Amino acid sequence: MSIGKQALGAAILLGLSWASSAHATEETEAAEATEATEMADAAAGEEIYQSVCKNCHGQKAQGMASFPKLSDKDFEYITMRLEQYRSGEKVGANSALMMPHAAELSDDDIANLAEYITTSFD
Amino acid sequence: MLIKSLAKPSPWILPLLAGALFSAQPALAQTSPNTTSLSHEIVIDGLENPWDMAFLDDGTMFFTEKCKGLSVRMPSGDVTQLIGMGETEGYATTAEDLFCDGQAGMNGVAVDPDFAENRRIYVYSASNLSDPQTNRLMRWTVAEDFSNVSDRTDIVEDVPYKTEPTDHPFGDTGAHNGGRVRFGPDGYIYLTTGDNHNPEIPQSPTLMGSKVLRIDTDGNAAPDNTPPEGFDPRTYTYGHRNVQGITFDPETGTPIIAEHGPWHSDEITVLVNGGNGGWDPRPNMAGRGDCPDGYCGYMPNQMEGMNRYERAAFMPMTDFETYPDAMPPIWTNNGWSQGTSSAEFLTGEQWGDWNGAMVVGLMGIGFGGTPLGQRIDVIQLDGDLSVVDVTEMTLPMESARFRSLVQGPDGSLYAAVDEGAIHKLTPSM
Repeated sequence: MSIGKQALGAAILLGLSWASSAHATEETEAAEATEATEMADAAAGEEIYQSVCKNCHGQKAQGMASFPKLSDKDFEYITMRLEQYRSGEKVGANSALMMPHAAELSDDDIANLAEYITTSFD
Repeated sequence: MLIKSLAKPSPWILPLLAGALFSAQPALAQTSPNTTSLSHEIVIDGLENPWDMAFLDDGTMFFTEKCKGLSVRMPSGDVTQLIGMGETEGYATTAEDLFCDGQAGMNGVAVDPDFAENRRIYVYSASNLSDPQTNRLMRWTVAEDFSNVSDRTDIVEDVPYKTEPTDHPFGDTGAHNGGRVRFGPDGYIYLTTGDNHNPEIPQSPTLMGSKVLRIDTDGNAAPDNTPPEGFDPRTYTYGHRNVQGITFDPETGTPIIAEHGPWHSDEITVLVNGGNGGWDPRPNMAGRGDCPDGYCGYMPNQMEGMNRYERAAFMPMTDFETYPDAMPPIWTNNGWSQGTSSAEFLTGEQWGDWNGAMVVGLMGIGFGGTPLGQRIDVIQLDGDLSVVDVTEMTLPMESARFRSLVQGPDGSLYAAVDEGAIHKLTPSM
């Protein structure tokens, strides 16, 4: 086998390996998300949401003023954003308002909020 | 599982708890010398960001929704959608150039004092007719049967609109447009505008943001405006941040504004013809160095909470050191910034001790330890228009983001809230 063919073969194997790894990662993430959804407590999420989040996003997560609508977002999106804000990552113009709130949230809180928001409104 | 803030109440929850305690003793809360017992009804629900209302004497109510447009509610309760923005469907007339983006969209509305004769209304909105986009004040004629509008004339075309995002809190495009439109007792239109997060606008003599414009119904400057030499003659006052509230003392006709503060110091200010509000967020002046994207409005430490008085010292809402003759605020919300948005005077014997008091709506911003503060404050002024008492209104319904307060011709106070409703508060003393 020529060096070129060897390199091509290695690249294919690497590609297959990467694709397989990526596929496995996606499956793992999906499984984790499903598990998080199943474990989440919408009632606990409601208590948090209606105490704090509603003041800017609205009682029905409809969005108000320049604060975005949440009721059309999915579980993974809300989880991801809250985790980003919790870690101090700046995401968008309202980060200064979101980061202190998110910093207070546990993993369970985030899952509960995501469950409540994504299952409670039209 | 609860977040820590619930186990240990955060400052913004304490007012709610306090309110709950008061609500357990309604008789005490409702009969103290400075309160009036109120009944409540929802006039309209299911709206999208209602922003302002304007009434005819018979109770007909025009109202705006920030991203949808202008509608009218007849005394019968029937609603007709009149001016739709962009591609919004279902409206009698569509204005494709009107758009919403962040804080921008359709804002204030006013009815001509001679409406019975000329059928004119005035609406302020972001528009893409100009390049770059601007905020415009439009004049329209309402059909006799209120089924439609016609004869659009843009009487102000050049209020700046924020076209690029910046590195600031609320830094998206469309920020800080002001947006309240009111007729003064002198017959002129007063239009309030904002700074767009642009450091040059507030003290600019020609850019019409951060101003209170005083104009006639064709958009011409009121002839007795007295801005400094070189200023656009439509300027009544300048050097503001983002004015969303303006009302007029019922005794003297003096205009009074309510204004958002920048993480500190909401302000109410009695306007003086030609006066400077003293807002100047430019970098490298007044003891400041460089600031993010050249705008110091939220500095220092714009992303985190800090002592509000230290903020005020660094970036004052009214900079008396640079502008010793600036108009002094008569109220600064105890140094807090909580989203002061609108102002109105209560008039009529039905208001009891509140007859002649000013009410101010606050939307609430719980940033960096600031109490949320969603409420209506009742502010008593003396004959010199100084504040003598401030009372938080005991609400007959849940608090909300109070965007607009207008007293209707029936003597009730109407409140538009960002949550999507227009409430009616009626005194029953």
